[in-house]
Amino acid sequence: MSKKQSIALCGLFVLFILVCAVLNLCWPDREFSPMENRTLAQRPDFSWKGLFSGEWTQDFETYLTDQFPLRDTWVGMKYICERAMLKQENNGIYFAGDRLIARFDPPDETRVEQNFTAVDALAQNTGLPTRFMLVPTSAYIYQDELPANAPSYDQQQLLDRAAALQQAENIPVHQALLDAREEYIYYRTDHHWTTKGAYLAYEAYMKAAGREDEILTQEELEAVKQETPDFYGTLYSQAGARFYEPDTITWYDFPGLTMEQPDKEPSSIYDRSYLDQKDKYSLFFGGNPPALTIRNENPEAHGTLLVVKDSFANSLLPYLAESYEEIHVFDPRYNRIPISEYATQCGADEILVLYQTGNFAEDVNVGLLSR
Amino acid sequence: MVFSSILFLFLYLPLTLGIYYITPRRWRNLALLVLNLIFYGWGEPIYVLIMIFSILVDYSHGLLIARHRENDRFCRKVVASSVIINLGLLVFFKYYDFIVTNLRAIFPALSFLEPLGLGLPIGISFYTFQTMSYTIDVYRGDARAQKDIVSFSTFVTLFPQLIAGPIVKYKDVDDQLRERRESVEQFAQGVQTFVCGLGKKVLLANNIGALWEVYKTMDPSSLSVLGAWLGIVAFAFQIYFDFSGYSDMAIGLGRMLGFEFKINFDYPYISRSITEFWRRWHISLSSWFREYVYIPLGGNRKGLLKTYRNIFVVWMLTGIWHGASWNYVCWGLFFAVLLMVEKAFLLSILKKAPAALGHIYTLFLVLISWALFANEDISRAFGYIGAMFGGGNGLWDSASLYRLCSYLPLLLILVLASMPLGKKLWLRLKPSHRWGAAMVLCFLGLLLSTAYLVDASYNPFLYFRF
Repeated sequence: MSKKQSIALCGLFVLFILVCAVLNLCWPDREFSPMENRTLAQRPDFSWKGLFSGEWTQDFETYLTDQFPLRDTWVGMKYICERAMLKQENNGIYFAGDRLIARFDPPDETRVEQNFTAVDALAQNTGLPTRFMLVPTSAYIYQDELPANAPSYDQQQLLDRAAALQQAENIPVHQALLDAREEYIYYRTDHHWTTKGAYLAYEAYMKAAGREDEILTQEELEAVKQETPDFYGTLYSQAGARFYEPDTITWYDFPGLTMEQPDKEPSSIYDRSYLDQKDKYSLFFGGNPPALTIRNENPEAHGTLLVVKDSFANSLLPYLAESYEEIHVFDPRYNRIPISEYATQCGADEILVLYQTGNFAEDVNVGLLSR
Repeated sequence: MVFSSILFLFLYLPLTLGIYYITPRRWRNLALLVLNLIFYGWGEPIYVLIMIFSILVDYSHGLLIARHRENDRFCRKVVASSVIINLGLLVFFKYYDFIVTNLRAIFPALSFLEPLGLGLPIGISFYTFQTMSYTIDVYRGDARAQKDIVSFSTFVTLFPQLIAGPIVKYKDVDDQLRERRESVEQFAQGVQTFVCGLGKKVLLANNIGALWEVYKTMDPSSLSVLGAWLGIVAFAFQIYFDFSGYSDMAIGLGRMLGFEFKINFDYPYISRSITEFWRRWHISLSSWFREYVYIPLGGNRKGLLKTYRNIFVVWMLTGIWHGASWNYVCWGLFFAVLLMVEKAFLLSILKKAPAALGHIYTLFLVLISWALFANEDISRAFGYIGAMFGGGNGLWDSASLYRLCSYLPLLLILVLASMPLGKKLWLRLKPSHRWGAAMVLCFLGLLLSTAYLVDASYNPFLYFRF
């Protein structure tokens, strides 16, 4: 290599590290990363104590990496390399054709049994009609689209266990979902089912509750239909993915529904401030508030429903709210009083427990329902 | 501070190179010394004191020997003192807890001894060896005593090789410390070596490390034969590309500052015998042990029995040097036995046998040795080796098959990168084309390594549960 060539190579190297260094110093710091849904590390305050304990140096390094210029672009570049290397997953998310599917890890058998027992106990303790819905994840519905031999727990075991509930009435929805798998029932970039997927569960529930004639028709829905495009969900973020078609969230702006939360003004069940944020699924009820009551002003609405749920129910509740006068959402984590007592207080006529399989199998709080 | 970090690449390194090259030549060792101490003290400022202590000890011991050269008995005592102090430091910080835990297990009466739980000062295994060999070399007349404490300190603290080697002997860099002419050609070579090392560490080692991570924590009884082998192959690649990548980065950084260090890895996985493997793996460590332990003990010139004893001693020490745990001792002794067998008769057979046989034999045993090395819990290590031969759960499992497919392209790249293929291709390239290739490869290497380094901190915080 001639001297000139050596100079060019040295120049390339020095320029690269220098440009990155200068950009890193000048680049404006961000508070929050929507892609990662977390606050980024900020410049730590210097202290001699922190320096000698090693805390400051560590914080400084985290800060430097978190605030590196064009952070999301570098992450995207790594993603492209991984795809070029024919990797079939990233961070536990499988690449399955045009959709992303979260790996389903084997649950803790003892907890699973505990939680199922708690659901039966809930039915027993309250003496109210208690219905249970277990929603499989897309790993179950689109099992055949997973990469060959990809490890994923078979959710059928959980669904079968649900069918064996004694006191609570199990409403199977997985078959209806399987039958409709060609339709847009699960988001491609998010772990939730779509509002359409939730409709299938809604139909099943209404039939089980003897309200078959109240089921909203497609025409009725069409009249209040809203669509929010450009939704990139949790799976997309988790995988650090790129180049996927964004999802569209469909929601129905039913008139006459209000949501009440303690210490807050009654408001719409849809929090429209999320429409132009990344986390668009929080449009439903503004995420997962700890306590929530949905009231329906229409005179035809009747009955009070008590719901114990995870975020899968968020797109289902608006349909149900059209039929019930009151829906109370009970979160066992935030309520000190036993659910049976709460059911009496709010005058519930029936109870729905709705969880996604993975959440149900892992959630420590489901056990609290037996109180 | 580690080389493969945003902090080092885009803050410390540009500052260091800038400060180093604007400093007038005669002050460069001093500038480098200060920069070295910042590098070392970052994160663990207190342990700088231990290193300074080690420097002062050997600086003074070297001078003492140089001044009392005619008094051999005294000089021997000085050497002994240096060895005792350095090994004392090493034993105290690295092995105290290990020794105490074992003593307590054997002699319950000693239960008043408590493990201290001290953190291991970074690089202590490397710099104590370097300073110790300095005093020994001065005594042997292989190195001149360094009168300038700045130059000597610069040598001990030299940041490129400070925390993960190679173990640089003082006599090899003596001239360079006194007088070195940095050149743009040497710097350019340094860039190539450094980026190559960076890519090895960040793009290859870290990625295949993720595969080993899966098998590392699995219960050996649940491992299939395929899984156990896949796991240990992943580990073999991870440790080689991690370690040799780090050595390359050290050599490259050294060149950027005008130093030449000897190579530390020479394609170890193409060896045809264990003897050859150890001539190619971590060369600076095995040559250190050869020079300062094996040969002083008599090497192979005092009869077969003594030769075997010497091999045994050296490899036990090599094993324990890698970590304060019994599995490393086993790992060292495993090699001791193999080297004795090769010395006795196997080596001459292997030389005549087809090359493929030698490769298979070597890789097979090296992989077994990694199973000992990678599992600190010795019963787990044996369980793991058992699983490699069917003592676990069946021949194969679908998850391992999936991982094999998923990692196949990377594994192929790793196999090719373990062979001198790239080097051969490089040498066959027309010299006029090499520059262009070097430019493209360096740019890509830096770009992709940065992407992977930034991504390593990608940490989505998502409530899947709700």
